[in-house]
Parts: sequence; C-alpha cells; structure tokens
Amino acid sequence: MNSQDKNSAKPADRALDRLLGKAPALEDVSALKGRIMVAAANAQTSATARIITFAHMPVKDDPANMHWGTAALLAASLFIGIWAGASGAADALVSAPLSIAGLDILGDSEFYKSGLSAAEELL
Amino acid sequence: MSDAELLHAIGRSDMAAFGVLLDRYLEHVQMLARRMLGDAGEAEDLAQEVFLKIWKNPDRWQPGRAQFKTWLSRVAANACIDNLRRKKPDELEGEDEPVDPAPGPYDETLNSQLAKRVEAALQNLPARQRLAITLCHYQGYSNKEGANIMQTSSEAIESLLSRARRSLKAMLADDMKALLHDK
Repeated sequence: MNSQDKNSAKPADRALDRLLGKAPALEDVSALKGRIMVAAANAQTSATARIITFAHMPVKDDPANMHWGTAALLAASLFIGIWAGASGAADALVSAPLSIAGLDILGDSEFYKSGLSAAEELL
Repeated sequence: MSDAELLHAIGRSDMAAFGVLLDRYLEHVQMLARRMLGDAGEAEDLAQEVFLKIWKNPDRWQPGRAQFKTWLSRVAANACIDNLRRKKPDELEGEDEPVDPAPGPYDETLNSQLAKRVEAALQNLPARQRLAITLCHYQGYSNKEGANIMQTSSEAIESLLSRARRSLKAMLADDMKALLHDK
C-alpha cells in the first residue's frame, strides 16, 4: 500500500460503510411472523392426525391369501350343492319339513301341469 | 425467559413461546437471508423454513456448544448457501471479477437507485464474501463470532472481508467518488 492509499484508506472505508448502509431496508416482518405461526400450527395438526391414523389403522392380512381362501370356500359350497341336487340326497331333508307344513310338492306340480294344459286348449 | 427456556417450551408445542422466539430472532434471520439471497420473497421462504425446522426439532440446539443466536445464524447461513448452490452451482467456488452494476434509468429517486446499486454490488460478491460482510457489517458480529458462525478461522474471515470490501469499492467506485467529493 503506497502513501496515497494509506491516506485515502480511512475516508474510503467510511464512504463504503455509508454506501453499504444504503442497501434496501427490510420489509416489515409481522406478516411473515403470522404466516410462520400458521404453518407451525398446521405442521402440528398434521403430525397429530398422522399419529391417530396410524394408531387406528387395522392390520390387514395378505390380500392374495384372502382371495384364494374365499374362492375355495365358494367353489366347495357350489360343488356340494350340485352333488346334493343331482343325487337326491337332500330330497328327504326338503320333503320332511314340507310334509309337516301340509304342502304336497307332487300335487302342486300336477295342479300346475293341468292348469297349463287348460290354457293351451284355450289358445 | 431465556432462549433455553423458550426452546424447552417449544419442545412441548408451546405456540406462545414460539411467538416470542420469532419476535426475538425473525428479523435477524430475515436480514441475513435478504442480504444473502437478494430477493425479499426467497428470504421470507428461507426464514420460514429455518423457523419451522426449529419448531419441529427444538432439541437440535445444544446449549453448551454455542449461544442460540450464533447457532441460529449458522443454520440460516447454511440454508442460504444451500439455496445459492441449488440456484447457481458455480457461484460458491467462483472468484471471478464481479460484473459492474451499472446504474439504471433515473426515473426513480436517487436513494432508491443507489440502494439498488449497493444491492447489486452485494449480490455480485462470491457467496462466502457476501456472508462475511452480512455477518460482520450488517449483523454486527465480531470477526471471531463471524468466523465461528462460518466455521472458519479468524484469519480466513478477515481475508474474506478484505476481498469483499475491495470488490465493493471497485463496483461502487462512482458512488464512492461522489460521496467523497460531497464531503
């Protein structure tokens, strides 16, 4: 630093300090404070909601296993139904309560058949 | 209420304590971000981000290691550096000659024009020089405190300040001359 620089150093530094003081002033931070408070409250609410959701979330089985189990049960009941109907194994089970109730399946069938014949004759 | 007590209360989700903390330090963080980023909107976003981190994790500050204000300034400064790195990856390493912030059209008041030129000159400094000037000139930290916040040595921050002031004098030469002439 030469002698001229030394002489001008202090005024130049003071001038620079004054210039730096001219930088744009800060905006009012009260609105920003409000926004931060709201964001903090929201962050707290969402954190609480997340905890509740997790606490009440039901434990699920593996969905793939559930589908296979349900399908197997439905298939088994279908086969039992077809076998029971085809073999007549369930007829005794069905006719017994109908007899007790005073209903005659065979008689009803003949009645409907004769009704049908009369209608055919009319046509 | 001390800073430690405030942070303890914030740990219990005490909104009133958080409000007191904002009253105490929001302007400080906002000023740092404004000088570093050069944009009021971005500075507000950054200040919000910093304080929300404190709200969520108040125990991140360890009282025995640094004063809260020093720690907060470091958190804000690091957030500013990260922000600048995302925006302009080259700026942090670059020590290029700064661009001359040419005066704009004289359709506004002289003070407003001067403020813009000073702002532009600050923004043309490399990020670490700008941070050193922000901490030690605008925020009133000593060189030692500034070095602590920037996690560097006192010699390094003195060097940063010296280079920053030299660059600023060059960039604002015309205004400096006018100021010295008026005197």
